[in-house]
Amino acid sequence: MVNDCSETRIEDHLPRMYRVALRIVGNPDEAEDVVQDACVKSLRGWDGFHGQCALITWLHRITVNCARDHLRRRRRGDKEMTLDDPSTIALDECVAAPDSELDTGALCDRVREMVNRLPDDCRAAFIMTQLDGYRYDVAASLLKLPRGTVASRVFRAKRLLLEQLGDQIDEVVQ
Amino acid sequence: MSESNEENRLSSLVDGELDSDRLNETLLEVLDDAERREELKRLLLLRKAFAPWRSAEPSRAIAAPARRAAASGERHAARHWVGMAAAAALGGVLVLTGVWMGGRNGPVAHNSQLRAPDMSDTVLADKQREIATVFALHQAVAGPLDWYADTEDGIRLSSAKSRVPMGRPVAVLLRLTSATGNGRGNKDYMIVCREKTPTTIELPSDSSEGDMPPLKLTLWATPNEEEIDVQYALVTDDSLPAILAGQRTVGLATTPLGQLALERRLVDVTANAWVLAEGDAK
Repeated sequence: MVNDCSETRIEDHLPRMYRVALRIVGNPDEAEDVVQDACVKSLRGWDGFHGQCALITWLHRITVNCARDHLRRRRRGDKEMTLDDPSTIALDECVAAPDSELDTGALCDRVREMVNRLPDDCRAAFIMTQLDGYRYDVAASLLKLPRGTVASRVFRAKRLLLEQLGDQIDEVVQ
Repeated sequence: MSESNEENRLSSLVDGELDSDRLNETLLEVLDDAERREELKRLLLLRKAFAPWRSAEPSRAIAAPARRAAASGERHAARHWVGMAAAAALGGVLVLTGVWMGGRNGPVAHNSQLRAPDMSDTVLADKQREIATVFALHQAVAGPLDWYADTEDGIRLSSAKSRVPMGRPVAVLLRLTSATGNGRGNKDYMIVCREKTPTTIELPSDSSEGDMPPLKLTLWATPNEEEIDVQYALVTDDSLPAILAGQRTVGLATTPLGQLALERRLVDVTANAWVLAEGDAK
């Protein structure tokens, strides 16, 4: 497990910022652009960061906002999707369909769809801990929930996914 | 303990979220229970299914403006104003010191206000000695410095937080040149920072000139044999922000860092860098 709160430099958090961006935008090149953008924005906003929250949560929010902006720019002109569309706003709590060049291994479309259909309250906790790789206490800080609640929601999400997968879990991993 | 709580504990175990005592206790329980062993296996398989996502890494280098967290004790704003005040006071002191040293050491002291050298080619030994001397002079007056920046428009400096600086001084000569080649508004910046130490500097700008907005520069210089690995981010604080960020290996020869698109023109950015030898100041 990667370090969380103890890291005090932006560069220490780049891999996880990348994973968050990749999960939201679904394209490696675009995810790198999002992280670069987030780095610059964090630099520009550095004077406003006074350590009220952990650096990791501050960077997560910047990364998510940059990824949202990126998605909105990408979708600009798409008449079927407006900025106010709730499905657009909720994209940062979902797993985007990865580009074909992205080797997601076992995470096939079906599992990704299952994750996206998880109940709202446990989907965010599951995604942050199982895909983004945050520790429970960091996810709790990001979601403004007690750590125990996050643990329960993660477990509930896992139970739902395992119920749906049944015996196919072996195939998914292979 | 209810069945749900026990499963919840297995889920936390799989995610590495149990402390060692709870981990051992849970493992002992699982060893004696075939049903829970199967549950543990399924939870492990599910976690494994998402492993590729948790291990994804960017394929290209991303230039991070590496900064220490505010909680680590850096007081950026305060240091900025301390630096400004020290710079203002230092200006007067340096004039007097320069006159005094001019009588003792000859021409070197007349360059107490550091000027960026001509970077059209390699930085010569004379220029390296001059910069080392001026940096040493500033440290003699103001005490150890974390960083120092100088242009025709003024100087910035930051005193070290402790009496012992963090690393060797690294000189970085930064040149901003109009890409159209008309020479208008070209800028040279002479910067000395500490090796392996993130440094952010608000570079002085000439407000009367009007077409060069204030710049914020972040540097992370790591000596690598005879050259310097430099991570950099150059950001303008203008109505139309411009950004240049990246990583280059920079030496005494001029190295292009890229182009900065300002509101009305395109600017080429180049740099030279080397470890400032303390002995060169003699």
